[in-house]
Amino acid sequence: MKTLFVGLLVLAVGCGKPAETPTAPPPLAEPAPVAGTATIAGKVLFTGDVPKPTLIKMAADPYCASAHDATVPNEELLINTNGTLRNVFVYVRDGLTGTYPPPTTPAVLDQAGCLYRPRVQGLQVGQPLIIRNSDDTLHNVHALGDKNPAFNLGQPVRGMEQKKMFTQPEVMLRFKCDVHPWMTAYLGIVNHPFHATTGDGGTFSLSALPAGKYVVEAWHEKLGTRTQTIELAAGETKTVEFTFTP
Amino acid sequence: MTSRWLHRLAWLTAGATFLLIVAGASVTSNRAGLSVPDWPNTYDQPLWRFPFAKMVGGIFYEHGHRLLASLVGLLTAALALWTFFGQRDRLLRQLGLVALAGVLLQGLLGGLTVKFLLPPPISIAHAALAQAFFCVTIAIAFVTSKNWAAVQPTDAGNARGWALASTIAVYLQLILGAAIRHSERGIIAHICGAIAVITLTIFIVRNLRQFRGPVLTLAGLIILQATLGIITLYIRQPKLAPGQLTALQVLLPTLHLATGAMILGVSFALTFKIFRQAGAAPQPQSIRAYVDMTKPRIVTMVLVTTALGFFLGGSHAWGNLAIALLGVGLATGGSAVLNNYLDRDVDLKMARTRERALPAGLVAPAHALALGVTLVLVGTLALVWAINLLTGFLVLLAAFLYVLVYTPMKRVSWFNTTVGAIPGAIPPLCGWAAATGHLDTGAWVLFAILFVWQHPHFYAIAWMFKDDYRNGGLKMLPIVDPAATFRHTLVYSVVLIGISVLPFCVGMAGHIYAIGAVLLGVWMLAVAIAFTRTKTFADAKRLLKASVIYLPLLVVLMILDRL
Repeated sequence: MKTLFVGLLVLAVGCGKPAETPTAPPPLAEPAPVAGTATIAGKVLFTGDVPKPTLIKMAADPYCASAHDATVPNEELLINTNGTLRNVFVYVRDGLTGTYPPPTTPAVLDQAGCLYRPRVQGLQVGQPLIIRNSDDTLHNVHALGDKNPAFNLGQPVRGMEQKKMFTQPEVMLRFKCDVHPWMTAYLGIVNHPFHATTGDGGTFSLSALPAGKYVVEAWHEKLGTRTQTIELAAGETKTVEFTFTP
Repeated sequence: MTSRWLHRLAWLTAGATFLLIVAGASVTSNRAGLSVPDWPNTYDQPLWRFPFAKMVGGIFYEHGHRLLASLVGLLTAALALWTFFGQRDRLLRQLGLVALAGVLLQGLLGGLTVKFLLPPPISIAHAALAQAFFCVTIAIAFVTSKNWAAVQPTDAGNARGWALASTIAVYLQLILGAAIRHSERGIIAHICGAIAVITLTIFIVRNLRQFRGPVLTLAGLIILQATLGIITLYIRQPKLAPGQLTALQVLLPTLHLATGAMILGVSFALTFKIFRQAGAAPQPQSIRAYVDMTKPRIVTMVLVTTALGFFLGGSHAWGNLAIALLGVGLATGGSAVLNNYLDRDVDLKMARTRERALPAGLVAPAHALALGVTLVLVGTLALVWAINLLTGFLVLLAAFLYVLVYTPMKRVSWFNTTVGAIPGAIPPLCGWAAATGHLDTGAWVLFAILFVWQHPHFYAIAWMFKDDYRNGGLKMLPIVDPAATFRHTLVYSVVLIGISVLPFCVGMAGHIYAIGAVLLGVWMLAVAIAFTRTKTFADAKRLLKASVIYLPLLVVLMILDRL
């Protein structure tokens, strides 16, 4: 009886699955990258109540505490004096067709004063990342890759540098230091050069874009993402604003 | 005849192990598990060479844990060598070797989880083995004590069963707790487990009065633990949530884990002691006797109807079906064992059941009790953890109705058959709930069919063995009111025909099923009528056979119509 039932179940699985249609082969030749002339420029605004900033407690490592004259604010949400938002990663999410060779100049992730510098940055697939320890203490660099392999490096000595490359786009890949639990950095890995991170002016600019219709996404670690669809003609410059609220 | 120093070394090892568990808990609480990327070295330096001044931040917890672990490793090695070469006691020598193997494996698991960046299965295994190792060190401390050899056997009654079930349940809770910390899964199962442990503790307080000290300690720790658990639940942060943790967010989960280890220690010590007092170590029973107690044929029928519910619920996640069957199977088997446990006096009076494991004396009642409680718990928790809360609830409800309502009711009222038909009809609900997460009309239709079907099925059995049931003092309908037996059999057989067409009415099955169901129903009704006319054993047996053939055929029809 049981055997018969199992047999019927097996039969049921067999009948339940539709025959798979062969998928079309991927196009063989990718179009060569076109040096564009259009630009998306703008800024990222923060509206709403500004939360009271919290402080980082660095007492667990005396070196870190002594590396700063004053107390260090938590960097999860940094609002500039002009009301713009810092550490927002802005990039073209959809709409690009070309392939873009990665730059050979490496991006740098520095550990200085027991903080990652920069906290947020972009990088192209295949572009090297130099990870450096500028501190006189021990750091581990723990990359929580999801699409890229995760890794955990030890950098116990000041001046140590290690080079890493990433093979898959991943927005965002998080770094953490398990010695200093407040240390967090984010890396936006994309397969083109049209990405930027807002600084203390809150502005960004994506230039040399070919004409086309793009979905541009702005990412913030605490406030999530915002997207806009922007259509560009050759040589055109469009100004856009992203607004985040808590 | 063991040295007092060996005994002291054993307690030192157990104490150091407890501290090591708390240190390990601090590593996870402080999220410091990867603050030392290499292993067995610490930042390229041998463990004992790494300077204390560099134990900053997370390294303090991780490296400190490793230092303490190496100390426990040395203590265990000394203990193992001492017991193996210096002692005659077989159990003691075995425990020494088990401890040594455990500590080596534990170190390896710790290293592996660092090397592979804390994969949840390895981290959970590391946490689970830690607690098991702790129990082994306690066992060694007991066996090396001065008065261990002098303990006089006493009748412990059911104490063994309750204590063993409690230890197993607490250990499962520790594994579930580790699962929450390392994989963010199992919170609901852990809460259900907590309720189970609290219930068991209440039974222990009531039943183990002769062990006042440890039992009251256990009860006190459980109350503390529940309080810590509730607070931890509210303030804990997922392990990958960004941001710095507050002191309380670090401290409370650590205290919760430390208290958990203490509870396990006390519960295990109590169990170990009771088993010693109750006589020699339990003789290995034939596995067959244990398997028979789970009533494999009933379990098979339950699994078939569970699978039917799952299939008709419309899910094709066969992995979930496998887990659901495992959970339902374990809980059903456990319920059957508990039914055996409660009925062991009645079973002894009846020819049909005299040869069962408990009345035949093949298995100690305490073992059956512990096995039953454990199986029900593991099955339910597995369902809650891996499937959903509803399925776990249903299987626990069925176990409750079967063990604590139906089983005692057999001695009181003929109505037991109808009450017992409820848990008997729950399995397809479990399957449906496992497939869909809720119960629809279709699930209740299956429930109704099984509920009605069980009446002629069990009345036939009751008639066949009515003399036996009378000897056992069970109030089955053929004994209380023979004429009613036939009336009920006929009524339920007719109702079954109507109910069996319901799947067609609600669109679960097509014409083939409807025609087949009516034909099958009429055939079974004919057999039932013959039985009510002749009232013979032979015709009762025919009805039993017909009912046993009827149900699988109905299931096959329903499935065929769906394909």
